Amino acid sequence: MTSLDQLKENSLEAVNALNTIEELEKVRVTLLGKNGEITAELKKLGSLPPEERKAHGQAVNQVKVSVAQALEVKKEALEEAVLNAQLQAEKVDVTLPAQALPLGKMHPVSYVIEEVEEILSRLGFSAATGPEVETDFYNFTALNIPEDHPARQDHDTFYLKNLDADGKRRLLRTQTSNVQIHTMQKFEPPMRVMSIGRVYRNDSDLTHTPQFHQVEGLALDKNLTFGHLKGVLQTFLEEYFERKITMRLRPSYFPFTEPSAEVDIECLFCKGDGCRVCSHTGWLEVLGSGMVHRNVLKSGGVNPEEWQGFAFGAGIERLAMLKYGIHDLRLFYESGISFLSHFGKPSSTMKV
Amino acid sequence: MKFSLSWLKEHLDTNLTAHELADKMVSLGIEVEGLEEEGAAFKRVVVGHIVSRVPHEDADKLGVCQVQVGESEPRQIVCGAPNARDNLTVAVALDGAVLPGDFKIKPTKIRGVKSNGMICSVRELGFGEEHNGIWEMETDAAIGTPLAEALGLDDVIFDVALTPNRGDALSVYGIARDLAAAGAGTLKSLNIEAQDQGGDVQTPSDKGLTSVTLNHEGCPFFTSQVVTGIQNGESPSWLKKRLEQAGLRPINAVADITNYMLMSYGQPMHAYDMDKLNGNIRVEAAQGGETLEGLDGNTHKLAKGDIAICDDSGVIGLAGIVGGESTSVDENTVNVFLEVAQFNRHNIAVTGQRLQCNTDARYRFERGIDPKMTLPASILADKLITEICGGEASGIDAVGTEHPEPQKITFDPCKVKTFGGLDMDSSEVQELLERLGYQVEGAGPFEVTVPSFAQGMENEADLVEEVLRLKGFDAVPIQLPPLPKVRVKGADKGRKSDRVARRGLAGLGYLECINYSFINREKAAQFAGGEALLELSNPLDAEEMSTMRPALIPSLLDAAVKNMARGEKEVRLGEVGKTYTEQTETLKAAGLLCGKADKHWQQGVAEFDVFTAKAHAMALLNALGLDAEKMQVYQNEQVGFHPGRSGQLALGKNVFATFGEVHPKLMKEYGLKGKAVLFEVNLDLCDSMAMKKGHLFMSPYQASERDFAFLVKQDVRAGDVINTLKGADKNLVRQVNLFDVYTGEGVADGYKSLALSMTLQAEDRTLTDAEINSVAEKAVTAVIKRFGAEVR
Repeated sequence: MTSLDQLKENSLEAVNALNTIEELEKVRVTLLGKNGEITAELKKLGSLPPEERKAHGQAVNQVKVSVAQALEVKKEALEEAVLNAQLQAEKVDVTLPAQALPLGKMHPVSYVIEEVEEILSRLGFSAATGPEVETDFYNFTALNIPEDHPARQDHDTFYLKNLDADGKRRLLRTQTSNVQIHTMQKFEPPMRVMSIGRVYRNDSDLTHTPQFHQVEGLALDKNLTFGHLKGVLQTFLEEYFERKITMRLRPSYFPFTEPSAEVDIECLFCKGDGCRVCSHTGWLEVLGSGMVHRNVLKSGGVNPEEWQGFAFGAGIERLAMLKYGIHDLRLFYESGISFLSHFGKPSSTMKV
Repeated sequence: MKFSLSWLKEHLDTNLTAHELADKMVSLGIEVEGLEEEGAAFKRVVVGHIVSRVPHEDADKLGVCQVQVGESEPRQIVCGAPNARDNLTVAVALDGAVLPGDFKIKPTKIRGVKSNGMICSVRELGFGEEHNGIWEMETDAAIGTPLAEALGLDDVIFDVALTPNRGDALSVYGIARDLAAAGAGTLKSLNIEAQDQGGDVQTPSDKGLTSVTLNHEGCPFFTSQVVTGIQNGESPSWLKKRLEQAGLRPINAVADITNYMLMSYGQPMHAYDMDKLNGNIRVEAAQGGETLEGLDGNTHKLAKGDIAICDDSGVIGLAGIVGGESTSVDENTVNVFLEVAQFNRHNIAVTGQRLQCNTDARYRFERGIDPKMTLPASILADKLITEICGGEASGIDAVGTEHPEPQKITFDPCKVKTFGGLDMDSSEVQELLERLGYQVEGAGPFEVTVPSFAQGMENEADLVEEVLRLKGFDAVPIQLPPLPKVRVKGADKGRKSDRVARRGLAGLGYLECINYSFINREKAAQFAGGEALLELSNPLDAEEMSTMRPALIPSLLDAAVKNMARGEKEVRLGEVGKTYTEQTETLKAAGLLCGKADKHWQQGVAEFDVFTAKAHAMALLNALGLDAEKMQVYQNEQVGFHPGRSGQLALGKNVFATFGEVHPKLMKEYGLKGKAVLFEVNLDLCDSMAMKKGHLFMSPYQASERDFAFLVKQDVRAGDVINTLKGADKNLVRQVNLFDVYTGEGVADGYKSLALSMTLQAEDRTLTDAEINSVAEKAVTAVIKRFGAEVR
């Protein structure tokens, strides 16, 4: 065995025996560094007779390459081992609970308002708003409910101690219909508007809260009929409840519409067989509606000989209870975290 | 209003069942709230006859009976009653019957012997306690007759609700009339014969007994008569039953008859004890201040203009509302004076509402009565009184005008189509109207005469409703109107910011709650900010719900208290709603954070402070389309907030948001522990202010950073230092980041060290060191000059 072979064998053995990257670096310097053993062999070439130089040079170089390769392989293996050790050390128990981000939610009433607004918007209704603190005129008189009208008693109105700037008695609106008058006064027909918001009645029991929400639609044009009202209601109800709806209109009475109709739908829970939710009638009352009374049009400054149309209204809480299975109306206003977390909707919920 | 099927059938000849009639009523606009079958509990219980009884082979006490129940073969029923024997009439519950206590009857085997039904005891039927044996019935009813029918319990009670426009249907007769028009039967004529009309019988005034003078325009017509020599005892059982079915308490025959007439025909009437009257009757306007001991047990104080029924003793009745105690009929009454009159709905409504006196009479007058029913009702009443109580009836004195000229409406039958949406021949329109009692004349537009009983019929729309109502609203075909060509724009003030705020709050982790707009007065007053509060004159709760809230904060604090009391540890609630002062309504959004979340194994307890509230307020403002970074931050004392840990985000005078920690004093008042932070954003203001987006800055050239540390006095505001750095060169300074505030070792008392990093970048070139240094130098100089700062 030549000394070169010996060198190669020793070198490869040394590389093979390495355990750490630090050792590997040292060995690399010892062998292939400026003053390394293999480098020294190369340096010796100059002192060799020219005819030997080529062959010896090649041989040394071969040794150098194989040692360098061995070093490279070893290095990769050691690095791999280090990484594996690190990964092993870094292992955590991922079943540990992560810090929960607070999950905010919209109140079910707000969410239903959005749903209703989206549907009515697609049917051509624009949103309109109006004041909650009103005068007798906008809440009653303009809506064809004169002073001594029996319907006024049914409203359980909250009155305010403070008069308005003109010295008139004020009240909290008992219905969103006040917006009809404000809108008619400000805009010219044809129009299709909806108003949604808080209304107030002095009543509180299992099925009444002194504050609740209503949605109301108003459509005025040259030739809108009771049949169009039925069409809008049917579409609205089917879109909202996301299913086929059997609707029934019953003659009723609202001072601001003529004809007036209560709108029932076949009970969503028992399909009309009768259950607790529909008080065993098979029907659920969901809307009030009718053709706008000419006196209301006049109050709004709209000529009833030229324009006609329909209006309808519903309680938002009622719609929410029916769709989302909320059984107790009072929960809406108790601000309980468990209720809000359960029935609320995350802000990212985009259903309609 | 409640009434029985048999009562209805007295006026309506019909073959329809109670359920069919109820459906018809609903489609006519008479809401049926209840339909109670009196005998419902005895479904499948019939009258039976024990043909034979033999002892049970395997049980001493049991017998096997053959019972005839009206079927072709007798049924075999095993019965243990000691009195079960041949030839006994009994009540038999057949399979399918459900006896009181939810006891369901079905075919069974008892000790190996088939038993198909049950022979009932009195107790098993729910009639009483008797349970020593089966009920030995005494009845003329045929075998197989349903028990309910055999006992006369086969009536059905309707409970109907009528809308205020349906004065015409506030009587059994009125409902029968409407049903007849809809084809549900034939209306029977009123049972008045020629001899009932009085003929030449003397009237009270003829007899010189008493006369009536009308001195109030609210009473257009008044009839009176006297029945003498009556015996006023208990009413006959049929009459008591009718009233009880209607939910009325029987009193005495005369009083019961007046109630019965009111319920039957919708015409209120009042009976006076003739011998308690003093002189003649006057109907006149009250002076105001008079009092009346009413039959309802209350003392009523009259106001000027109320319609008063008076005799020489003074006021004896509140017309159309309630009679007086002093002249009331009782069991000793011998002579009766009967008033059947008409009173104006407006007068009755005003007086009744003021006195809060709810009577059946007022209810009907307020909704309008049929003036053509007054005289017939008067005749029928005196007929019934003499029938039941004996005595002799006088003729009828009628004063005033019985009924006004009938109303006429010009009606184009095409309106049924163009307004009602139902295509209908004019001949059918005419027929439907006539069935409802309208007279129709003319061919093109009709000339329609409104019947005396119809209320509030004024225009064509009313008649369209009548036609549709009779035809059924279901007959109108469903149509979707084309989308409008023009949309209403600009009427939706606040809608968009309302929605953004609700979603925004939820995005920030708040649970949105909705609280009542009215709150405790004291709590409201704390946030009034010098403005007059808006107060309810009739609050539901005078203590806690009397005042319209001037801020959302008290509502959220109350909600937090409630939740903490329920054991919640951390409260993160938001609300979007209006706030109120005497003359303003402002839409706001607010968020409240309080309590402590559970300790987390990794991060301990999440902390929040004034800067959390500030960050959330800014996030919401940004969501609303404003640029909160560009707003000024005011540090000023705000009601309810910690004076040193609260602030406002504003542009000049416009304050968009207030944020901070809740004042410790307020926390204590509300009973909240620990720390709470909150913010409130004025959405109406955000809506009215559009902030321009400004120039879009984009640069491919390198940005450079320079760090500074300044030593400044404690009271120097970091925001001002940041703004000063930004002001060094508005075009080149892209961003200033404050990354450390230090006090302590190495910094003198009363001073703090602020460390900031300034980013410079140009849009059109890479900045040279000279340029960067020049801006940095300018910035440092400005900070030194403005704040007396020292560079560290």
